[in-house]
Amino acid sequence: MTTSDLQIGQSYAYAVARIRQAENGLLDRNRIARILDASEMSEILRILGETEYSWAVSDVAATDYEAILTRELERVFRYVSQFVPDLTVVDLFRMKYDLHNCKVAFRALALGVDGSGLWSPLGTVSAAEIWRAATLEIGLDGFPKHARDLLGAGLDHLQLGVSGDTPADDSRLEQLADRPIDPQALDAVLDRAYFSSLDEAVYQIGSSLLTKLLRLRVDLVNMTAFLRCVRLRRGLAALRSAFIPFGDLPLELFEKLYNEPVETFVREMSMSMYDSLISEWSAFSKRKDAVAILERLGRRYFTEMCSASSAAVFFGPEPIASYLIAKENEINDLRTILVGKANGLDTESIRERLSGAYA
Amino acid sequence: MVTTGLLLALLGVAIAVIPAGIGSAIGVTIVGQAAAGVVTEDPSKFGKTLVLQVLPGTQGIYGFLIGFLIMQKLGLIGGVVPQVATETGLGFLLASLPIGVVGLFSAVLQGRVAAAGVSILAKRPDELVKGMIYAVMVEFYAILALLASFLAYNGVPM
Repeated sequence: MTTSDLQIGQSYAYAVARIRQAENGLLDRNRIARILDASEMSEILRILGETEYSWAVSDVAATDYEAILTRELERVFRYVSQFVPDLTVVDLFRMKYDLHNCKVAFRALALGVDGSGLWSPLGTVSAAEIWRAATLEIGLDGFPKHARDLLGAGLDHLQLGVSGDTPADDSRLEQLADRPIDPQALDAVLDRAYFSSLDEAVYQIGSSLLTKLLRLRVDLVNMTAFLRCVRLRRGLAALRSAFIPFGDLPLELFEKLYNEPVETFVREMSMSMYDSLISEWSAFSKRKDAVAILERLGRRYFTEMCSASSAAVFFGPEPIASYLIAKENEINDLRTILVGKANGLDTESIRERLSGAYA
Repeated sequence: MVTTGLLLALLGVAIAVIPAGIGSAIGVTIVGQAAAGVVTEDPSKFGKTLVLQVLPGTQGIYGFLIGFLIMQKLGLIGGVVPQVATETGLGFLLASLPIGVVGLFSAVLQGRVAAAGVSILAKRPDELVKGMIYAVMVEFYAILALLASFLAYNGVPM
C-alpha cells in the first residue's frame, strides 16, 4: 500500500459509498418489465414518477420523452459532480455531448441548414459557444482541451482555420458553401478527435480498468464500423477513415477481413477476447439488422464487463464510471421503449431491441 | 537520573502507542468518509455505519494498553523517575514492536475492509453482518499482535 493508494482511498471512499447507495435507484428488471408492459404513455410516466425520474417527468408533456431523459441525465451529472473527487470522471461521459454538438454545428455549417433544434445541453461546453467557435466568431483559447481538439479537428477538416485561430473571417465561411463536404468523413475526423480526448482523459485519471474499458469500447465501435463498411461496400479507404486507433484490435486485422465472408470475421473474433460476444452474435450475423444487433449486444457486453470489473473496487473512480455507464444504458433502453411505444411497436419487438443489462 | 534503559523503555511506549494510533486514525477516517457518503443518502443507516467505523479504532486502544502497562510497570504513573537497566528497557522496546507494527498496518487495512462493508450496507443492508465479519477477520491479527506484545511485556523483569 503506497501513500497515493491511501490518498485515493480516502478521497474516493465518500464518493463510492454515495454511488453504491445511488445504485439502488437504478431501474431493475421488474420495473423495466412493468414499463414495457404499460399500454399508455401516461402509465409509463406514472411508473417513472415512482422512481428517481419523478423530478424529470414533472411538468413535462407525456410525448416529450426526450426532454424527460435529458433532464434525468442532467440531474445525474449534476449529482455526481457534487462529490466526485476528480471531475474528469464525469467529463468522460459529457464529452460525448460535446462531440454531438460539434457534429451538429459543423454539419449545419457545411450543409447550410439550421441545427439549433438538435443541440444537447449535456456537454461540458454550451452548444452556443461551440456554434460561435465553429462560425469563427470566437477563438478556441477559452475552451477546455478536449473541446479545443474537437473544434480544431472540425475547423481543420473544413479548412476554416487551425486550432487556436481567432479571426472572424467571413470569406472563409462563404467559400465553404462552394465546397462539397462529405458528412461521414467529417464525423470520422470528429470521432477520432473525441476518442483521442477520451484516451487522454483516461490517462489523466490513471485507472487501468478505465483504460481497458476504453479499449473495449473502441474495439466495439471499430467492429460495427467494419461491418457497416462491408455491408455498404464502402471500400477500404472508408474503413481506414472510420477506424479509431485506440483499441486492441488492429486496423490490419480489419483490412485482412474486409474481403472475407462474415464467417471468417466470426472465426477471427472468436479467437479474441470478444469470444462470448461474437458467438452470441453469430446466430444473427446473416440478418439485415446484424450491425444494430452487434451494437446492442456490445452495449450489454460493455456494461456487464464494466460492472463485473468495478464490483470489487471500493476506492477509485471505477464504481462511479460504472454507475454512469449503467445510467446511460438505462436511459438508452428507456428511449428504445418510449420511441417504440410512440411508434406503435409491439412489446416483443421492443423487448428484442433492449440491451438487457439492468441493475 | 534518566538512564539509557529508561529511554529505551519510553521509546517502547512510543512505538506501542504512536503507529497503532496513527493506523487507527487513518482506518477510522476511511470508514467515516464512506459512512458519511451512505448517511448523506440515507440518514437512517447512521447506527449501522457506526459499528463498522469503530472496528479499526481498536488497534489504537491495544497500542495504548501496552504503552500504559509498560509505564505502569516502570512506575512512571506515580511521577517517580525509575532506574531501569538497559536490558530491561530494550526488553520493553522489543515487546512493544508487535502491536506497534501490526497495529499500524492492520488498522489501515481493516479500515479499507470496513469501508467496503459500508458499501455492502449501502446496497444490501440485510447483509451488513457479512461485511462486519470480513472486517473482524483483520482484527484477529491485531489481537494476536496484542497478545504477543502482552506476553513479551510480562516476560520483561523489572
